[in-house]
Amino acid sequence: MAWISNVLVWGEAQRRNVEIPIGPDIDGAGLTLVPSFVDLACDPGFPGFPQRETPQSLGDAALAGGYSDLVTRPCVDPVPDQPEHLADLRRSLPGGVRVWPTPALTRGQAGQALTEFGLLSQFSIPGVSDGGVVVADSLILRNAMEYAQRFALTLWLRPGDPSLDALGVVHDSPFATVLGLRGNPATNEEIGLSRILSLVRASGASVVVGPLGTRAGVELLRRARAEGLPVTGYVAARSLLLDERIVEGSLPEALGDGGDLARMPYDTRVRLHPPLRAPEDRLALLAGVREKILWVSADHAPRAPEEKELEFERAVPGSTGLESAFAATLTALGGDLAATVHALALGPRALLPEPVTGWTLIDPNAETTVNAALHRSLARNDALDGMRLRGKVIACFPGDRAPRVTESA
Amino acid sequence: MIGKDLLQLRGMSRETIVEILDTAEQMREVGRRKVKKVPPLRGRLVVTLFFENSTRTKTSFELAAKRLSADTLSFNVNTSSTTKGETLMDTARTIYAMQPDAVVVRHGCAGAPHLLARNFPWRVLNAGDGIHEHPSQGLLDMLTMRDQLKSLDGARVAIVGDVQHSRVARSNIWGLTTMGAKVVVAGPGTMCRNELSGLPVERRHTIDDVVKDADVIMLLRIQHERLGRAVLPSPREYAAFYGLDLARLRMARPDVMVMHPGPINRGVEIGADVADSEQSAILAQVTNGIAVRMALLYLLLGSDERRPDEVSHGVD
Repeated sequence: MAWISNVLVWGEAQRRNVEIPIGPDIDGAGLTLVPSFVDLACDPGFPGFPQRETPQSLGDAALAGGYSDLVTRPCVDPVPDQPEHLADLRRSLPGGVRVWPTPALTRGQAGQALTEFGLLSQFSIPGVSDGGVVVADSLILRNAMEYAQRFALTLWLRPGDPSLDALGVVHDSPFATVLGLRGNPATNEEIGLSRILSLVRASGASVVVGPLGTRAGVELLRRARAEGLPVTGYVAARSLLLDERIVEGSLPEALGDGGDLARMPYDTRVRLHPPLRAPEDRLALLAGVREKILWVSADHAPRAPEEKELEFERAVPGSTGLESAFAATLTALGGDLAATVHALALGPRALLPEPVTGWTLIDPNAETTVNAALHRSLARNDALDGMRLRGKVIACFPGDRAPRVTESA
Repeated sequence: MIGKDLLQLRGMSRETIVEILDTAEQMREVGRRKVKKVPPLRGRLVVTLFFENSTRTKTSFELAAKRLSADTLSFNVNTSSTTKGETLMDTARTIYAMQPDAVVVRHGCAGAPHLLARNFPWRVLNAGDGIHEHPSQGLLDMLTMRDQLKSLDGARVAIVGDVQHSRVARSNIWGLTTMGAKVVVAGPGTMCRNELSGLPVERRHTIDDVVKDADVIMLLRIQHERLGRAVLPSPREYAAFYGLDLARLRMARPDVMVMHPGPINRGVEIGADVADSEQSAILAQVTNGIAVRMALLYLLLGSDERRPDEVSHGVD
């Protein structure tokens, strides 16, 4: 047994000592113990992509970033679209990090036939999802929502319009015109989310939508929640800090020089899909997080060097996020730790089928510079690499090795 | 002063543009001599690396290099074979091992020359990257205009056609506005979208609106290969509403210059009789292209303080 001494526990007013199952002792002065984080959109890389991530590297990256639980997308090989696949998937990573797979919503993520929702739901899963793939056919989507009801299964959907979603590699805007890059329009998300919400209204299905990136998307979500629709939205942490201008190497003015994020234009680390959008979209996303209608995901998408050392248009989209999401969120929220913990931990926890009991020890005042070269993830493609942020994760204690917080010291 | 590379005209200073155009005027004299060759780049190696088909730009760069006595090496990379094969960076590493001093690159992706420029110490000349920029074309167009108009300051330039997908238009727009010209554009809504507001141009809806008081009318090639679905109903519809025929040319000033980066689609964006009219500067553009590219190679390589035998390429 060991101790964290003189630490501030989330929700309490006085500093005290907390017992932890494994040493060494930690001096908790200046540190805070907060509920551990849950990622809502993690691309695990395994099985199928050993050059991106391994169970060991993903577990290490999660703990380094303060994450005890990861909701994983089905973008692996083979696509988990049968109960047999779920039995094979690892549910616990080295270090005690738990994995919550969302098996595919359609067979092979092909958008044609539903997977076996009933048999899949016998496993403890947060829902079904086609990951980053937009369910193009509205009839398939309607049927999925109607069929899911019997099993109380949540659908995790990325909103998009089938034809507009295929367009472009950056946000469609005057800025894209200048860079000579084809744009993906904000209307893609607006149309896609409208379509989902119409079907939710008709079917009563419960959905999680994300990652959202547009002002119109936030407004639609706001109205849907006010209306009482069972819809939850999330946003990627990096899109609270960066906007489309990073593709040219420019940061939002609010961040000052942002650290060593000196970028050449067309840096493929910021090749994302959906893309980073306009400055006003970023502000709308921040407002949504502050209002607690949007949770924040790490949106962890590891990519191998050979997938990124390419022309901008040809690079595989995606950025790692587990090891920078906390500091990115805290920085974007101006140091508001309560809002940060709500967005990264308390909100997302409600979407898991079982309780989350882990704790994360953080220093809310430390200045850190994101350095992907030192990340535990196998991948180095963090869009925030080089950025100076506020907040640092000191340690993470997943549920099975959590501190004994509830007993007063 | 010109920098390490020539990647884009956006951000290039007025002084640098003037330096390039003035140097090009001197280079043009070389082409008028009986012996069309001068020695400043003797022993230097210029590689042309083209991932898209090109005849005129590639030939123009190669001729420019040869007139400056540089050695040239030409790589044509079939894009379809690289899609699943060697990456751009691996191709570049191979060529770099041949120790070239400059690489002239054309590529279908915006930013590809930037990738080559930041990863290798060679000098990169962008010969067209996707729909981003084609800076040497912009410069040769500006030289052609300056020849006739004497000054680009205050010149009124109309660009008609697919501005959205045109790297030629972008380079002209940045270069011309830096030099004090005013650029207006016209084209179908799918080719001159609202998003053009990122460029320093004024957008009008009809060709008639822009030709009337223009000093220069620049027509863009309708590139069928670039067009996706429903961008344009048909070439004849384009010709009817945006093509420059003699009737429309008569609405313009009598001394208007008509330019086109080529190759032209006769009867689509330009009437056959207009292409051959005395207002057409299309062939002067070709001649000036060689001079501008000589100037660029000379300024990028000839002013290099390192002597060829001192150049370290970092390849062991």
